[in-house]
Amino acid sequence: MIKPKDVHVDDPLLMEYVEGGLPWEEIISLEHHLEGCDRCRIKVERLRALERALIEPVLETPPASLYQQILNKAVKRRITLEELFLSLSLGFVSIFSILAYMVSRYGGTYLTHFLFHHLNISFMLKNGVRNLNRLTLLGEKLMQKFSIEGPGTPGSLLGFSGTLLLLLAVLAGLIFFNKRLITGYQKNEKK
Amino acid sequence: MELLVVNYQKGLFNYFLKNLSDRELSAELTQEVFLKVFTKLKTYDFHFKFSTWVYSLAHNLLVDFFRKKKNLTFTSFSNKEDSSPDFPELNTVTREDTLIQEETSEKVWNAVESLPETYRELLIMRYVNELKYEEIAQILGIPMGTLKNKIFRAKQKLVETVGEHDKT
Repeated sequence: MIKPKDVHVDDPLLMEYVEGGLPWEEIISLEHHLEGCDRCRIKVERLRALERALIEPVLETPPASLYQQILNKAVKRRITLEELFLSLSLGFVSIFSILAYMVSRYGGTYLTHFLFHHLNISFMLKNGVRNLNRLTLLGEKLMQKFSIEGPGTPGSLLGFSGTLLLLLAVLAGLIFFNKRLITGYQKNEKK
Repeated sequence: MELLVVNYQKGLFNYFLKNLSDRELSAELTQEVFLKVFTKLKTYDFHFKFSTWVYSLAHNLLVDFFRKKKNLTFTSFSNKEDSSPDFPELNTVTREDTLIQEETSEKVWNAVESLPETYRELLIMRYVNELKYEEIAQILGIPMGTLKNKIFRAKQKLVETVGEHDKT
Protein backbone atom coordinates (compact mmCIF):
# COMPACT_ATOMS: atom_id res chain seq x y z
CA MET A 1 0.00 0.00 0.00
CA ILE A 2 1.39 3.41 -1.00
CA LYS A 3 1.78 5.87 1.82
CA PRO A 4 -0.45 8.97 2.37
CA LYS A 5 0.25 12.15 0.39
CA ASP A 6 2.26 13.88 3.11
CA VAL A 7 4.74 11.00 3.07
CA HIS A 8 6.76 10.39 -0.10
CA VAL A 9 7.23 7.14 -1.96
CA ASP A 10 10.54 5.29 -1.58
CA ASP A 11 12.94 5.94 -4.45
CA PRO A 12 13.48 2.26 -5.39
CA LEU A 13 9.70 1.81 -5.59
CA LEU A 14 9.45 4.76 -8.00
CA MET A 15 12.22 3.22 -10.05
CA GLU A 16 10.39 -0.10 -10.23
CA TYR A 17 7.24 1.74 -11.28
CA VAL A 18 9.07 3.46 -14.13
CA GLU A 19 10.68 0.19 -15.18
CA GLY A 20 7.30 -1.52 -15.18
CA GLY A 21 8.15 -3.95 -12.42
CA LEU A 22 5.32 -3.21 -9.97
CA PRO A 23 2.17 -5.32 -9.53
CA TRP A 24 -1.04 -3.64 -10.79
CA GLU A 25 -2.51 -2.99 -7.31
CA GLU A 26 0.62 -1.06 -6.32
CA ILE A 27 0.56 0.82 -9.63
CA ILE A 28 -3.02 2.01 -8.97
CA SER A 29 -2.12 3.05 -5.45
CA LEU A 30 1.07 4.83 -6.57
CA GLU A 31 -0.63 6.67 -9.43
CA HIS A 32 -3.24 7.86 -6.97
CA HIS A 33 -0.42 9.21 -4.81
CA LEU A 34 1.31 10.85 -7.79
CA GLU A 35 -1.82 12.85 -8.63
CA GLY A 36 -1.38 14.83 -5.44
CA CYS A 37 2.39 14.75 -4.92
CA ASP A 38 4.53 17.06 -7.09
CA ARG A 39 7.78 15.86 -5.55
CA CYS A 40 7.22 12.21 -6.43
CA ARG A 41 5.78 13.12 -9.85
CA ILE A 42 8.90 15.11 -10.73
CA LYS A 43 11.07 12.20 -9.64
CA VAL A 44 9.05 9.88 -11.84
CA GLU A 45 9.38 12.22 -14.83
CA ARG A 46 13.09 12.44 -14.27
CA LEU A 47 13.42 8.67 -14.04
CA ARG A 48 11.29 8.17 -17.15
CA ALA A 49 13.46 10.51 -19.18
CA LEU A 50 16.57 8.71 -18.01
CA GLU A 51 15.04 5.31 -18.68
CA ARG A 52 14.24 6.31 -22.27
CA ALA A 53 17.86 7.30 -22.84
CA LEU A 54 19.32 4.26 -21.09
CA ILE A 55 17.10 1.62 -22.61
CA GLU A 56 18.84 1.77 -25.96
CA PRO A 57 22.57 1.77 -25.31
CA VAL A 58 24.91 2.38 -28.20
CA LEU A 59 26.58 -1.00 -28.53
CA GLU A 60 29.81 -1.44 -30.39
CA THR A 61 30.59 -4.39 -32.57
CA PRO A 62 33.58 -6.39 -31.31
CA PRO A 63 36.64 -6.57 -33.59
CA ALA A 64 36.09 -9.06 -36.41
CA SER A 65 39.13 -11.05 -35.31
CA LEU A 66 37.83 -11.53 -31.75
CA TYR A 67 35.62 -14.52 -32.56
CA GLN A 68 38.49 -16.37 -34.22
CA GLN A 69 40.94 -15.42 -31.48
CA ILE A 70 38.65 -16.84 -28.80
CA LEU A 71 38.20 -20.11 -30.69
CA ASN A 72 41.93 -20.36 -31.42
CA LYS A 73 42.78 -19.90 -27.74
CA ALA A 74 40.20 -22.48 -26.72
CA VAL A 75 41.52 -24.99 -29.28
CA LYS A 76 45.12 -24.29 -28.26
CA ARG A 77 44.24 -24.91 -24.64
CA ARG A 78 42.36 -28.09 -25.55
CA ILE A 79 45.36 -29.31 -27.53
CA THR A 80 47.62 -28.55 -24.59
CA LEU A 81 45.37 -30.68 -22.40
CA GLU A 82 45.49 -33.47 -24.97
CA GLU A 83 49.26 -33.18 -25.06
CA LEU A 84 49.39 -33.46 -21.27
CA PHE A 85 47.21 -36.55 -21.45
CA LEU A 86 49.50 -38.00 -24.11
CA SER A 87 52.60 -37.27 -22.01
CA LEU A 88 51.05 -38.91 -18.97
CA SER A 89 50.11 -41.94 -21.07
CA LEU A 90 53.64 -42.09 -22.43
CA GLY A 91 55.09 -41.87 -18.91
CA PHE A 92 52.79 -44.60 -17.70
CA VAL A 93 53.66 -46.84 -20.64
CA SER A 94 57.41 -46.26 -20.08
CA ILE A 95 57.25 -47.08 -16.37
CA PHE A 96 55.14 -50.12 -17.10
CA SER A 97 57.60 -51.25 -19.79
CA ILE A 98 60.56 -50.90 -17.40
CA LEU A 99 58.70 -52.87 -14.73
CA ALA A 100 57.72 -55.52 -17.29
CA TYR A 101 61.34 -55.73 -18.39
CA MET A 102 62.59 -56.08 -14.82
CA VAL A 103 60.00 -58.75 -14.09
CA SER A 104 60.88 -60.69 -17.24
CA ARG A 105 64.66 -60.18 -16.84
CA TYR A 106 65.10 -60.80 -13.13
CA GLY A 107 61.82 -62.43 -12.19
CA GLY A 108 58.88 -60.96 -10.26
CA THR A 109 60.00 -62.43 -6.93
CA TYR A 110 63.41 -60.79 -7.22
CA LEU A 111 61.83 -57.40 -7.99
CA THR A 112 59.34 -57.55 -5.13
CA HIS A 113 62.10 -58.79 -2.80
CA PHE A 114 64.19 -55.78 -3.80
CA LEU A 115 61.30 -53.38 -3.25
CA PHE A 116 60.24 -55.05 -0.01
CA HIS A 117 63.64 -55.37 1.65
CA HIS A 118 65.84 -52.65 0.21
CA LEU A 119 63.36 -49.80 0.11
CA ASN A 120 61.85 -48.56 3.35
CA ILE A 121 58.28 -48.37 2.09
CA SER A 122 55.03 -47.80 3.95
CA PHE A 123 52.63 -50.49 5.12
CA MET A 124 50.17 -49.81 2.30
CA LEU A 125 52.87 -50.09 -0.31
CA LYS A 126 54.11 -53.28 1.33
CA ASN A 127 50.67 -54.75 0.94
CA GLY A 128 50.61 -53.60 -2.67
CA VAL A 129 53.98 -55.22 -3.27
CA ARG A 130 52.78 -58.46 -1.65
CA ASN A 131 49.88 -58.47 -4.08
CA LEU A 132 52.23 -57.71 -6.96
CA ASN A 133 54.38 -60.59 -5.77
CA ARG A 134 51.37 -62.91 -5.85
CA LEU A 135 50.50 -61.72 -9.34
CA THR A 136 54.02 -62.23 -10.65
CA LEU A 137 54.16 -65.70 -9.11
CA LEU A 138 50.93 -66.48 -10.89
CA GLY A 139 52.43 -65.06 -14.10
CA GLU A 140 55.49 -67.27 -13.68
CA LYS A 141 53.30 -70.34 -13.12
CA LEU A 142 51.41 -69.50 -16.30
CA MET A 143 54.69 -69.08 -18.18
CA GLN A 144 55.79 -72.51 -16.94
CA LYS A 145 52.46 -73.96 -18.03
CA PHE A 146 52.97 -72.64 -21.55
CA SER A 147 56.52 -74.05 -21.57
CA ILE A 148 58.22 -70.72 -21.18
CA GLU A 149 61.28 -71.61 -19.16
CA GLY A 150 61.43 -68.87 -16.55
CA PRO A 151 62.98 -65.51 -15.74
CA GLY A 152 66.04 -64.40 -17.67
CA THR A 153 65.60 -67.03 -20.39
CA PRO A 154 64.79 -66.63 -24.11
CA GLY A 155 61.19 -67.57 -23.28
CA SER A 156 60.79 -64.73 -20.83
CA LEU A 157 62.45 -62.38 -23.31
CA LEU A 158 59.80 -63.44 -25.80
CA GLY A 159 57.12 -62.67 -23.19
CA PHE A 160 58.69 -59.27 -22.55
CA SER A 161 58.81 -58.50 -26.28
CA GLY A 162 55.14 -59.42 -26.55
CA THR A 163 54.27 -57.09 -23.67
CA LEU A 164 56.32 -54.32 -25.21
CA LEU A 165 54.59 -54.74 -28.57
CA LEU A 166 51.22 -54.61 -26.88
CA LEU A 167 52.18 -51.41 -25.07
CA LEU A 168 53.49 -49.88 -28.29
CA ALA A 169 50.16 -50.70 -29.92
CA VAL A 170 48.35 -48.96 -27.04
CA LEU A 171 50.65 -45.96 -27.42
CA ALA A 172 50.05 -45.81 -31.19
CA GLY A 173 46.31 -45.94 -30.49
CA LEU A 174 46.60 -43.04 -28.07
CA ILE A 175 48.59 -40.96 -30.57
CA PHE A 176 46.07 -41.73 -33.31
CA PHE A 177 43.18 -40.78 -31.00
CA ASN A 178 44.87 -37.49 -30.06
CA LYS A 179 45.68 -36.67 -33.68
CA ARG A 180 42.06 -37.26 -34.62
CA LEU A 181 40.93 -34.90 -31.87
CA ILE A 182 43.41 -32.23 -32.92
CA THR A 183 42.46 -32.56 -36.60
CA GLY A 184 38.80 -32.35 -35.62
CA TYR A 185 39.39 -29.05 -33.81
CA GLN A 186 41.43 -27.70 -36.69
CA LYS A 187 38.56 -28.54 -39.07
CA ASN A 188 36.11 -26.74 -36.77
CA GLU A 189 38.48 -23.82 -36.63
CA LYS A 190 38.57 -23.58 -40.45
CA LYS A 191 34.77 -23.60 -40.57
CA MET B 1 31.50 -23.71 -28.23
CA GLU B 2 30.99 -21.52 -31.31
CA LEU B 3 27.39 -20.84 -30.31
CA LEU B 4 28.50 -19.76 -26.86
CA VAL B 5 30.99 -17.31 -28.35
CA VAL B 6 28.42 -15.95 -30.81
CA ASN B 7 25.83 -15.45 -28.05
CA TYR B 8 28.06 -13.78 -25.49
CA GLN B 9 30.96 -12.07 -27.24
CA LYS B 10 29.12 -8.83 -28.04
CA GLY B 11 27.61 -8.51 -24.56
CA LEU B 12 30.89 -9.24 -22.82
CA PHE B 13 32.90 -7.01 -25.12
CA ASN B 14 30.51 -4.09 -24.51
CA TYR B 15 30.48 -4.83 -20.76
CA PHE B 16 34.25 -4.32 -20.65
CA LEU B 17 34.28 -1.53 -23.21
CA LYS B 18 31.72 0.58 -21.33
CA ASN B 19 33.59 -0.07 -18.09
CA LEU B 20 37.10 0.53 -19.36
CA SER B 21 36.74 2.60 -22.57
CA ASP B 22 39.54 0.62 -24.19
CA ARG B 23 38.77 -1.60 -27.18
CA GLU B 24 42.00 -3.59 -27.12
CA LEU B 25 41.83 -4.29 -23.41
CA SER B 26 38.13 -5.16 -23.67
CA ALA B 27 38.84 -7.68 -26.42
CA GLU B 28 41.59 -9.20 -24.30
CA LEU B 29 39.39 -9.49 -21.21
CA THR B 30 36.54 -10.91 -23.30
CA GLN B 31 38.90 -13.65 -24.46
CA GLU B 32 39.90 -14.32 -20.86
CA VAL B 33 36.27 -14.71 -19.81
CA PHE B 34 35.71 -17.30 -22.52
CA LEU B 35 38.83 -19.19 -21.49
CA LYS B 36 37.54 -19.22 -17.92
CA VAL B 37 34.15 -20.39 -19.15
CA PHE B 38 35.72 -23.27 -21.09
CA THR B 39 38.01 -24.35 -18.28
CA LYS B 40 35.55 -23.92 -15.40
CA LEU B 41 32.52 -25.29 -17.18
CA LYS B 42 32.52 -28.33 -14.89
CA THR B 43 32.14 -26.06 -11.85
CA TYR B 44 29.02 -24.33 -13.24
CA ASP B 45 26.12 -24.66 -10.79
CA PHE B 46 22.93 -25.46 -12.69
CA HIS B 47 20.85 -23.69 -10.04
CA PHE B 48 21.96 -20.38 -11.51
CA LYS B 49 21.25 -19.00 -14.95
CA PHE B 50 24.14 -19.54 -17.33
CA SER B 51 24.32 -15.82 -18.17
CA THR B 52 24.58 -15.02 -14.44
CA TRP B 53 27.57 -17.34 -14.18
CA VAL B 54 29.25 -15.92 -17.29
CA TYR B 55 28.82 -12.33 -16.12
CA SER B 56 30.00 -13.18 -12.62
CA LEU B 57 33.24 -14.44 -14.20
CA ALA B 58 33.44 -11.18 -16.16
CA HIS B 59 32.76 -9.14 -13.01
CA ASN B 60 35.51 -10.97 -11.11
CA LEU B 61 37.96 -10.31 -13.93
CA LEU B 62 37.05 -6.64 -13.93
CA VAL B 63 37.47 -6.38 -10.16
CA ASP B 64 40.85 -8.14 -10.44
CA PHE B 65 41.86 -5.76 -13.20
CA PHE B 66 41.01 -2.71 -11.09
CA ARG B 67 42.79 -4.22 -8.11
CA LYS B 68 45.90 -4.80 -10.18
CA LYS B 69 45.76 -1.27 -11.46
CA LYS B 70 45.27 -0.15 -7.87
CA ASN B 71 42.57 2.13 -9.07
CA LEU B 72 41.64 3.93 -5.91
CA THR B 73 38.33 5.14 -7.25
CA PHE B 74 37.05 1.59 -7.47
CA THR B 75 35.40 0.67 -4.20
CA SER B 76 33.97 -2.70 -3.31
CA PHE B 77 30.29 -3.02 -2.61
CA SER B 78 29.75 -2.02 0.96
CA ASN B 79 26.89 -0.34 2.72
CA LYS B 80 28.85 2.89 3.07
CA GLU B 81 27.28 4.34 -0.04
CA ASP B 82 23.81 3.91 1.37
CA SER B 83 24.44 6.89 3.59
CA SER B 84 24.82 9.20 0.57
CA PRO B 85 22.20 11.95 0.31
CA ASP B 86 18.84 11.33 -1.31
CA PHE B 87 17.55 13.28 -4.29
CA PRO B 88 17.77 16.99 -3.58
CA GLU B 89 14.51 18.62 -2.62
CA LEU B 90 12.55 18.99 -5.81
CA ASN B 91 9.73 21.42 -5.81
CA THR B 92 10.09 22.34 -9.44
CA VAL B 93 11.54 20.69 -12.48
CA THR B 94 15.28 21.41 -12.38
CA ARG B 95 17.55 22.25 -15.30
CA GLU B 96 18.82 18.65 -15.38
CA ASP B 97 15.32 17.29 -15.89
CA THR B 98 14.75 19.45 -18.92
CA LEU B 99 18.16 18.64 -20.27
CA ILE B 100 17.91 14.90 -19.88
CA GLN B 101 14.71 14.78 -21.87
CA GLU B 102 16.55 16.40 -24.72
CA GLU B 103 19.61 14.20 -24.46
CA THR B 104 20.24 11.47 -26.90
CA SER B 105 21.04 7.98 -25.73
CA GLU B 106 24.60 8.47 -26.91
CA LYS B 107 25.18 11.50 -24.68
CA VAL B 108 23.72 9.73 -21.67
CA TRP B 109 25.93 6.72 -22.26
CA ASN B 110 28.97 8.95 -22.60
CA ALA B 111 28.05 10.32 -19.19
CA VAL B 112 27.72 6.76 -17.84
CA GLU B 113 31.35 6.17 -18.77
CA SER B 114 32.44 8.99 -16.48
CA LEU B 115 30.51 7.68 -13.46
CA PRO B 116 32.37 6.00 -10.57
CA GLU B 117 33.09 2.33 -11.39
CA THR B 118 30.56 0.84 -8.99
CA TYR B 119 27.66 2.87 -10.40
CA ARG B 120 28.85 2.49 -13.97
CA GLU B 121 29.04 -1.30 -13.73
CA LEU B 122 25.52 -1.54 -12.32
CA LEU B 123 24.01 0.47 -15.18
CA ILE B 124 26.02 -1.50 -17.74
CA MET B 125 24.83 -4.83 -16.33
CA ARG B 126 21.25 -3.61 -16.25
CA TYR B 127 20.99 -1.87 -19.63
CA VAL B 128 23.81 -3.17 -21.82
CA ASN B 129 23.71 -6.79 -20.72
CA GLU B 130 19.99 -6.66 -19.89
CA LEU B 131 20.42 -8.62 -16.68
CA LYS B 132 17.57 -8.80 -14.19
CA TYR B 133 17.90 -7.40 -10.69
CA GLU B 134 18.00 -10.93 -9.25
CA GLU B 135 20.91 -11.82 -11.53
CA ILE B 136 22.88 -8.67 -10.74
CA ALA B 137 22.31 -9.21 -7.01
CA GLN B 138 23.62 -12.78 -7.35
CA ILE B 139 26.67 -11.68 -9.33
CA LEU B 140 27.60 -8.98 -6.86
CA GLY B 141 26.52 -10.95 -3.80
CA ILE B 142 24.38 -8.16 -2.37
CA PRO B 143 20.72 -8.15 -1.21
CA MET B 144 18.03 -7.02 -3.65
CA GLY B 145 17.06 -3.99 -1.55
CA THR B 146 20.66 -2.76 -1.47
CA LEU B 147 20.98 -3.29 -5.20
CA LYS B 148 17.83 -1.31 -6.00
CA ASN B 149 19.04 1.53 -3.81
CA LYS B 150 22.40 1.49 -5.53
CA ILE B 151 20.87 1.53 -9.00
CA PHE B 152 18.66 4.40 -7.99
CA ARG B 153 21.68 6.30 -6.71
CA ALA B 154 23.55 5.47 -9.91
CA LYS B 155 20.71 7.01 -11.93
CA GLN B 156 20.63 10.01 -9.63
CA LYS B 157 24.37 10.46 -10.09
CA LEU B 158 23.91 10.10 -13.84
CA VAL B 159 21.37 12.91 -13.98
CA GLU B 160 23.87 15.13 -12.19
CA THR B 161 26.69 14.05 -14.52
CA VAL B 162 24.65 14.71 -17.68
CA GLY B 163 23.85 18.17 -16.32
CA GLU B 164 27.53 18.85 -15.61
CA HIS B 165 28.56 17.64 -19.09
CA ASP B 166 26.11 20.02 -20.71
CA LYS B 167 27.28 22.97 -18.63
CA THR B 168 30.89 22.46 -19.80
